[in-house]
Amino acid sequence: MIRVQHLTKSYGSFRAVHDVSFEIERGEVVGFLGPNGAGKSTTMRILCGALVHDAGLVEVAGARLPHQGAAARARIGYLPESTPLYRAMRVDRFLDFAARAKGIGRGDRRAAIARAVEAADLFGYLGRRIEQLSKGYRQRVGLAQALLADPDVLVLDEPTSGLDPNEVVRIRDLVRELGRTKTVLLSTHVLSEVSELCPRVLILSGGRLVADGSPRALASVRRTALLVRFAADLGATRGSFDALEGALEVEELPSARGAALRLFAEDADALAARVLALVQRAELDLVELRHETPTLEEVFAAHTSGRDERFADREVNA
Amino acid sequence: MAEPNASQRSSPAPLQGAPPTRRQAALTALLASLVFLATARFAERHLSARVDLSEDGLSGWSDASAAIVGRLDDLLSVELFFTGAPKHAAAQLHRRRLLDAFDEFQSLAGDDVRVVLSDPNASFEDRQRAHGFRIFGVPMAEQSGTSRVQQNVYFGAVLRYRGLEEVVPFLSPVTLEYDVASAVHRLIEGERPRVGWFVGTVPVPEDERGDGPAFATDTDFAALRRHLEARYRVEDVFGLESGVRVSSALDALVLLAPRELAPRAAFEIEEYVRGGGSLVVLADRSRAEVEARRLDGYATGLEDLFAAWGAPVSDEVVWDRTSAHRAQTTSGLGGAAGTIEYPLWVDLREATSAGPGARFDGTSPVTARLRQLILSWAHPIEPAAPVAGVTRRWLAQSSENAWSVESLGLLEVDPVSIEATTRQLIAGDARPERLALAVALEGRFPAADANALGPDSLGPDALDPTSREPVPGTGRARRSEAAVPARVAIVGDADWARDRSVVAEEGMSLIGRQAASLLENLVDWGVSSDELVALRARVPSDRRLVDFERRALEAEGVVEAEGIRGATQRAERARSRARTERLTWTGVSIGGSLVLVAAIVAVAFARRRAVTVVEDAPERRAGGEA
Amino acid sequence: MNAVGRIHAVLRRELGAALDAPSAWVAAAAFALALQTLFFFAGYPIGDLRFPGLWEGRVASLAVLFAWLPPLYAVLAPAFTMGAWAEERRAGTEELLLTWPLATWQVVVGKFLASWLLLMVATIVAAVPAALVVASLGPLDWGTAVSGAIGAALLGAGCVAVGLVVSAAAREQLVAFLVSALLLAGAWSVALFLRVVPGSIAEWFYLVSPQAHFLDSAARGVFDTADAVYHLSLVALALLVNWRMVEARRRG
Repeated sequence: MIRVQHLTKSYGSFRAVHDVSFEIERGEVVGFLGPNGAGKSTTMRILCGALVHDAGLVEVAGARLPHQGAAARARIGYLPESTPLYRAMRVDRFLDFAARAKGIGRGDRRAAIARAVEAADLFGYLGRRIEQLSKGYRQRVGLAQALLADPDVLVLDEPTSGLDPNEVVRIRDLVRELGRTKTVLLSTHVLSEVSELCPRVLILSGGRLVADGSPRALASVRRTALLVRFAADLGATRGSFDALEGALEVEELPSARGAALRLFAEDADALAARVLALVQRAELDLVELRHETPTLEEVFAAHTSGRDERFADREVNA
Repeated sequence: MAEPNASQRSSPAPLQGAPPTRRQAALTALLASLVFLATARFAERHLSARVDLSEDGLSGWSDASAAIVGRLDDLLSVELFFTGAPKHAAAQLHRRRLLDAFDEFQSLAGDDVRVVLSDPNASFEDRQRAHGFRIFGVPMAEQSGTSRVQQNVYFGAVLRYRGLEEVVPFLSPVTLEYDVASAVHRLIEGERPRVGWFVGTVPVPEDERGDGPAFATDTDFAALRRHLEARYRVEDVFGLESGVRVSSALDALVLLAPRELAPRAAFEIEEYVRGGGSLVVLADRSRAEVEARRLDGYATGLEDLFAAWGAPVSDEVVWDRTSAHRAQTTSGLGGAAGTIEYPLWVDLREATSAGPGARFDGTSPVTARLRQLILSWAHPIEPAAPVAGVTRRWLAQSSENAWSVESLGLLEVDPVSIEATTRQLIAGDARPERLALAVALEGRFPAADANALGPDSLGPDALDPTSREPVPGTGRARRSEAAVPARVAIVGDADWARDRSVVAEEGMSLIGRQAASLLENLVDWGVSSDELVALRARVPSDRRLVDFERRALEAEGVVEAEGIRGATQRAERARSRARTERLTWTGVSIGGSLVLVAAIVAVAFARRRAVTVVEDAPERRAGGEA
Repeated sequence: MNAVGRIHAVLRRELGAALDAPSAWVAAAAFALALQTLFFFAGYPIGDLRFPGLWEGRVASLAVLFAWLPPLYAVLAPAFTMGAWAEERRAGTEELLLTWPLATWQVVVGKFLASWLLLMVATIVAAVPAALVVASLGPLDWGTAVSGAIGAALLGAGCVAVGLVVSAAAREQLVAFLVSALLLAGAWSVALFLRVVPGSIAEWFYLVSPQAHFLDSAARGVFDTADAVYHLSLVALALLVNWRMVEARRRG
């Protein structure tokens, strides 16, 4: 459905996106992750036709951008980051305008609007002006607009940013629902969202694609760990933990009472058995023992923590 | 900063269908401006086709001009002596409009016309030649600050055709068409039409008579004659009563106040008309001696002829209540001056709509653009049975509130006796009616009687004025063949054309110009230059607004003597009323605009309440209130 | 849905937005007030064509009305068009328009038609009552009035097209307004300098000014096809440049 090869885009001398390549199949729900300025929005805008790339191949729904841009735009529904809308317009009139502008003929228009309104749950608000709505509802209007032409591809740029928890839940439910039938490309900072909704994740950093895969696959590259907490201080037995077989690294954690350790291992289960054996032998007061699988945050941090060379000139020398 | 590869890849060329860069867009803007300028220039030069939508239709050349130009067989060369670079904007505008008009003229005429420009301001030679043609510059001066810009601007033209020349010393866009078309017409005709001029005799006052004749030739009507001489060769006609024929070379004959013409003279005139000549008669049958307060009636001598032609001129005068002239009089008793309405003087005004209300025939080019005419002691042209072969149409008529009254021996010009007479007329048997005051006859005119011979000329004492030889007192055979179609115009009054009615302090008065226009039109019509009459009718029509001041002053009864500037209370009241009226109308206009704006606002508010595009059904909301 | 339908959609939206905003009504009312006051009382005392106000001149003519249209349009047209593109940029809705399957030229044409229609409505609101008043007080030359109306429509189209291009190029509404007002007022005032400038350049100046293409012709009752070409080519070229400029936004 979406094919990107060696995509490059610069704003003047600033390289926003460099040599990014990925492919997204029909029906996938893909999350875009990355720090601010990584190039997520730029890439999305290029896919939607708002920007034209400098080099590389971009193909959406079989249409080559930019010269088949109109065909591509007909199959994409896009919700930009700032949810730009005609604030002074009434909700229904705005959707009507959007429907006409997208080329939906008179016969299908009312049905299409009704469908989009239902999907975005906007009933009861159609007569209000957009500026009178809360951010959450404005977001829904933006979503409704994106859904009008029943697009094959939905591109959502930070759809839940700035929303209160209830609204966030609703948007996520909606995305889940839509993900069943459409290809969805979703960018966000909220990693829990990604874990919940996106079977696949693309991580951008510094304008480059640094990771591409399912969260689990990415996480599994990292090491797992065991967390053990004791009621009392360890004292001399502390050293025995380092000697445990399979313990790659032992990290001391700050604790209010007693001690806490994190042990990194490849086979966490085997190590856990050994730790229990040690605890029994040393008669330690074990309060907690649990597995820690690497979180997405860690995955994220690991991939994106390097210095962004593009901003090198502008860093203040500390 | 950027790597060389990247900069190559970010150059705009490689991607197909890529949008323009900012620089390219700016370049497009620049190119577009240049293309625009070039297109505008090209359109100005080659794509200009003008259509005149204004009602007056003064811009552009009418069909009449096209018809005249169509008769050109040889090359007409037009040399325009125009100032090439006028310094004053008004002159620049003037020049531009004239050149545009001549462009159109050139395209109208095609190859038959060649227009050439000469610049008297730039070339000494051209200036000399212009002066030779009596084309002189008009000084234009303008003061701007300390500098004074002065220039003599030339806008003259010389037209040449087949060895003849016509000069128009100063062209104005308004009269351009008439000036040029009539000049072309004259060139095509080759000669100016010849118009015969005959003024009726006047009685010599008794105290001056002595032993001499009782009647003398009248030297009146000189102003209008001078006016006609600009375009015609006006020749006196003599000796009709002695049997001198009216030359058939004359294109028209104008009789001004003929008085008791001898039967032979009437016969000569009849022969002329039946031979195809055109006749314009100002047939007045009364002469007022104002100081003596007498109105003397007489016969023209053409009564039989008029009767035969179906347009008998009555010896009674018109008394018109509605179109009465407002005259200023001084009371003979040394009282205050005042204005009275004098119904014996008919003040004909242009009616804005043609039809029964009009005083002038709006369809005839002779009277179509006539604005005003004052006929004093006019004689109506009586209705008569139609004469076979002759069509009669009225050119000027009174209001419906008019009577035909006997020529009063005594003239009473005070309001009291006028009132009395009016009341008498209203009470009397005669009903008020519309009376014809000028008619146009066209066709083959019958003879006055059936005699094969015309009446005798005056006796052997008569001398032919040209040859100074006695003319035998003989009759002559009347024309026997069928008459040639001719045109005759008869007006029941001659006073409107007299010098005292026409001349003002400097040149002609406003009403004098109207009189001149009418006479010229009548002659043009007679000479069958219908095209020129039609052209002459093309003057800007009077588009004056309702004069609130005048209306208010009239309503208040303020008369001329108090004057528009009079400071009486009534005048003040009238003026403030006029002011109020003006403000009211302005208010109506602005109010109208505000009403329209309010309508727009109403639409805007209605829009807010309008039903949603898709039914807004709150019960279908999936979750609770946000 | 074909191109006409989409242009119509843009047109509807723009007109709806203008209708909702009180600034549009206020502008129309102010224009009407200004034009009529000038027409009835002040006349046109500028330059070489000096006309007195209606009450002073006492002639049933709309010449003063037509004479004031070019300078007033130089202010009103920018007022109507200043937000057309600048506002979209500010609110971010430009991005929407660029990502919808809506051709840029359709948006350009739709915005042009909307602004032009607004200008024409404002003109009708201001001029028609005055014309009717004059017609009821004297014999108004309706032929000249109609030809002047057609000329005003063309002139308005040109002013609006210029205003839109400037709005597309500018980043802020105020800048767009000032620049386009200056451009249009400059073009109008060019005729005032005709006498100062040498002959050959004067010819070009005259070509550019609305005096040549409106006041001298259509306002006097003479409709010249060269004038139509002038205005229509201005509109076409301005819309073309407008389109290029908006498309250039895709470059980032």
